[in-house]
Amino acid sequence: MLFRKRDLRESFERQAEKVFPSVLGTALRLTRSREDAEDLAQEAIVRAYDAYERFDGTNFKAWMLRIVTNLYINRYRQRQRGPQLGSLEDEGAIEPVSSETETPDRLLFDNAIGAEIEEALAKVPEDFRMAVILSDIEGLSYQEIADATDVPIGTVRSRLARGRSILRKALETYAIKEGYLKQGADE
Amino acid sequence: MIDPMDLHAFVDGELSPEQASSVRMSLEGSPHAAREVEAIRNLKGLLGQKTESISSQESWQSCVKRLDELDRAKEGAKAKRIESVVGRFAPVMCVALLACILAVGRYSSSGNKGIVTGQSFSETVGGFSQIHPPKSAENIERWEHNLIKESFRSTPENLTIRPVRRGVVNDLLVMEFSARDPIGDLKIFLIQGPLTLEGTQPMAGQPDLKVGTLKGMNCIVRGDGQSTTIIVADRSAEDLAKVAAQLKI
Repeated sequence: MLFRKRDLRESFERQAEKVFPSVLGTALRLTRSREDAEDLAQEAIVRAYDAYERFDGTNFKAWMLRIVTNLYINRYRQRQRGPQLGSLEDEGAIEPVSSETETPDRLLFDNAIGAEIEEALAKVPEDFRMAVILSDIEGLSYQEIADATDVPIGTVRSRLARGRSILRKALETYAIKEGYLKQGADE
Repeated sequence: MIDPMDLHAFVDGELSPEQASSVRMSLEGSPHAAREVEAIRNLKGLLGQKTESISSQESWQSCVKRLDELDRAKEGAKAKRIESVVGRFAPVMCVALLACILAVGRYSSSGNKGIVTGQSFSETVGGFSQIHPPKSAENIERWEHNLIKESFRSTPENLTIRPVRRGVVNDLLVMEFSARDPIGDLKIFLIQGPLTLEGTQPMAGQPDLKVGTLKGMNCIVRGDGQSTTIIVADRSAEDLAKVAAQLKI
C-alpha cells in the first residue's frame, strides 16, 4: 500500500513537472496576473494529484490543461463583471486572418517579439484566446480543446477562426504603433 | 467558395484525408483562400515559436511543497480514522487480544513438549494409577525384576528398587520407582524420552547432571536424549549424584 502510494506520487510528479510550464503559461495567459496564475496552476496540480488514480493514461498534458482551464472558468470567470466579448457571438461571421491591405507577414512577424505577441494575445477576448492558446501554443487537438472548454467541436472551430483573426489585427495595430509597419503597407 | 473554418481546420490537420484533398484542390483556383491559409499558418507558427517561455521552477517547488502537505494531511486523516475505529472498538479488541494471548499461551505450553515445571510434574505423577503386581510372591519378584531390568538393565547391590506407578507426562511415558539404600528412601522417575525439568541447573563438576528441587526435596536429573532419570530424596545433591552413579541406566 505504502509502496503503491509512493509510486503514484513519483509517477505524478515526473509527468506533472514536464507539463508544468504549459500549465503555468496557460494560467498566466488566461488570468494575465502572475500571482493568480501561480495560484491557479498550483490548485490545478493539487486537484490533478487528487484525481490521478482516475487519469486514463492517454494524454497527461491535455488532461492537465483541461483541469486548469476548467478551474479558470469556474473560479475566475465568476469574479469577472460585465459580459464576455468572446461569449457573445460564437456564431458570428468569420473574418479572414489575412489582411485586407495585404500586409506581408514578413513585415508583421519578423519584428514581433514575445512580449508584443503576449500583449496582442491578451487583447483577444477570453473564449477565443483560450482556444488559440490551447491550439497554437499548447498543440491540443480540436477534440481535446472541446473537452477542456466543455463546448462542441464546431464552437472550437469558430472560436479559433475568430480568435486568430482578432489576434492578427491586434498584431498589425501594434506593428503600426511601433513604427515598423506603415498603415496600408504593401509588399 | 471554401468555408473559412475549413481553412483553419486544414492548417490544423483536423480534416479527413478526403476533405483535406478537396481543400487543396480549391486552393489552386483561389489565390485569396491560398493567402488566407498562408496567413493562418504564419500566425500559428508565430505563436508556437515566439511566445515567451514562462519561468516555472520556483512555482513548481511550491507545488511540490503543497503535494507534501497534501500527503501529510491524508496520512493524518488516515491515522485519525484508525484512532476513531480503535476507540470505538477498543473493548472488543481488548477481549480479542486477551483471547489471543490465552490461546497462544495454551498452544505454547502444549507445544513445549519436553519442558515441564516441577510442580506440574509432581501433580501429574501424583495422579498416576498404582501398579498392581501379580498376587503370588514368585510372580511379583519376576515382574519387578523384569520391570527393573527393562528400566535399569542392572540392579545396584546396595539399592533396592520397586516400581510404584506408571503414567504419562507431556506425552512421555513415566515410570515411578520407590528405592531404598543405606541412607534412606528415594524416588526415582524413569522417563522414556527427553524431558527438561524447569528450574534445574547444571551441577558443578557433573556435566551430565542437573540439580533442582521437586516437592521441596533435592533432585538430580540425568538425560541422554533417549530417556531421562530423575532421582528425588531428602538429602544433598552430592549424595543424590552418588546414587545416580550407581545406576547404570
